[in-house]
Amino acid sequence: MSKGPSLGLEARALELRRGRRLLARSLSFTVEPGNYLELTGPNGSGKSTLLRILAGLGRLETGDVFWNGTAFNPQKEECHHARTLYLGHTDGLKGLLSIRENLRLFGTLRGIHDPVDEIEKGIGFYGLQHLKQVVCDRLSQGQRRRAALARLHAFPASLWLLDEPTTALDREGVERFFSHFRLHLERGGMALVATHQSLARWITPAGEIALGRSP
Amino acid sequence: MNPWLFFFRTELGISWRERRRVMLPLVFFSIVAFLFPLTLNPKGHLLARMAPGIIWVDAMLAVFLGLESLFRHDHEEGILEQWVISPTSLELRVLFKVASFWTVTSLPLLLVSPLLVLWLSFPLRGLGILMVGLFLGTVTLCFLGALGAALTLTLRQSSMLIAILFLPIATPILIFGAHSAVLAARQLDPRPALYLLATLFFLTVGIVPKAISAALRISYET
Repeated sequence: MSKGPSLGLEARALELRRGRRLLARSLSFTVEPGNYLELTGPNGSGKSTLLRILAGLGRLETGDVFWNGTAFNPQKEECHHARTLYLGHTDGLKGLLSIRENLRLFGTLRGIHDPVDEIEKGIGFYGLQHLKQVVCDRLSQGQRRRAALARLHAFPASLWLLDEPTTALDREGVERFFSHFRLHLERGGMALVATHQSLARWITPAGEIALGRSP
Repeated sequence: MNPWLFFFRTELGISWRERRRVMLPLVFFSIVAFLFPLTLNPKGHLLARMAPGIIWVDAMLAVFLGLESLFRHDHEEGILEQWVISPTSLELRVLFKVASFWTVTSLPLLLVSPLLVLWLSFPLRGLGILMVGLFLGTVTLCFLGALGAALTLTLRQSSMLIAILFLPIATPILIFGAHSAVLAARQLDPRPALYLLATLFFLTVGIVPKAISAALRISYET
């Protein structure tokens, strides 16, 4: 069965391992522009491992990944890093810097020249204006999470790889996140979201990758 | 502002905010150096002969004590993993990170070295060469040490392992560095030793950032 080149991100016959243990075999999926996939499975089933491989942190041992039909190596391709934003378990915030300084520092990572307006918009969107000068060590868990998500707002990317994005967020924070997420998808963005709660009541995913069935 | 300069400035700003932790080793070793003349017999030129060695061991220890936390906090806060998957050069970022590390651990020692030289009654004519040697040597030590820190990033209790990796590599730099100052003090030609230090300096600055980047990438692969 041959398929024509598909738009978006496609993975074929991936194998997930942690150390020597095989977590999943022949994993194939496609994320198309404007859609997202939900990544489910019990603890330790390889959700984070899969996201890290797609982000370019973990090594892709077996299988292929395609972008708009072209195979690429997520670890090596700089343009993949530019079109992807990965948000892992850690918030990626320096505790000794304020939210605004953290976002500016993140801007240097993205190679963007001092995006003041975007940063202010991101901070404003997540309701952090009154905290933007506060050092991140002094913020609550949920406030830090909001600051991490403000990064998604300030630095647009076509592919989001999110690991439990709504942990520690209050109801209002979750609503803000999903309204932003909806906008991201409407603009043709894509996402893979690892989650324990079904996100379908917010936005219906295009599909689900269920990990953790015995390989 | 240039993003790299901004990055460098931010790193320095972070060190300034945790200056107690960063600067204390340096203060401690400076005090130790100042204790030598008080405890040794100041006559007989023993002190003057030991001075380059004392200052160089000081510099090495000041660098070494900072190594364990060089990447540790960035690693725990999830900053380093964002470095690895950023579309900008990891090598250049590592270079600026180590440069800021040098600025907080070694530059102050370089600045107090004239005082140490006076205090240890080392001939002043050797001061210039001592400082040039210290500059070349401490930069080399910072980069080599950073490589050790990157290689042991994900291991527990890595400081002992860094010591075992770092000290043998540091030894030749200390030998040539201290030797160049001794030669200058005796009014002999210090250039052979300095040239060796300079060679190590350029090799290290050119190659080691790449090695550190590779080490960081590998530590996130598993």
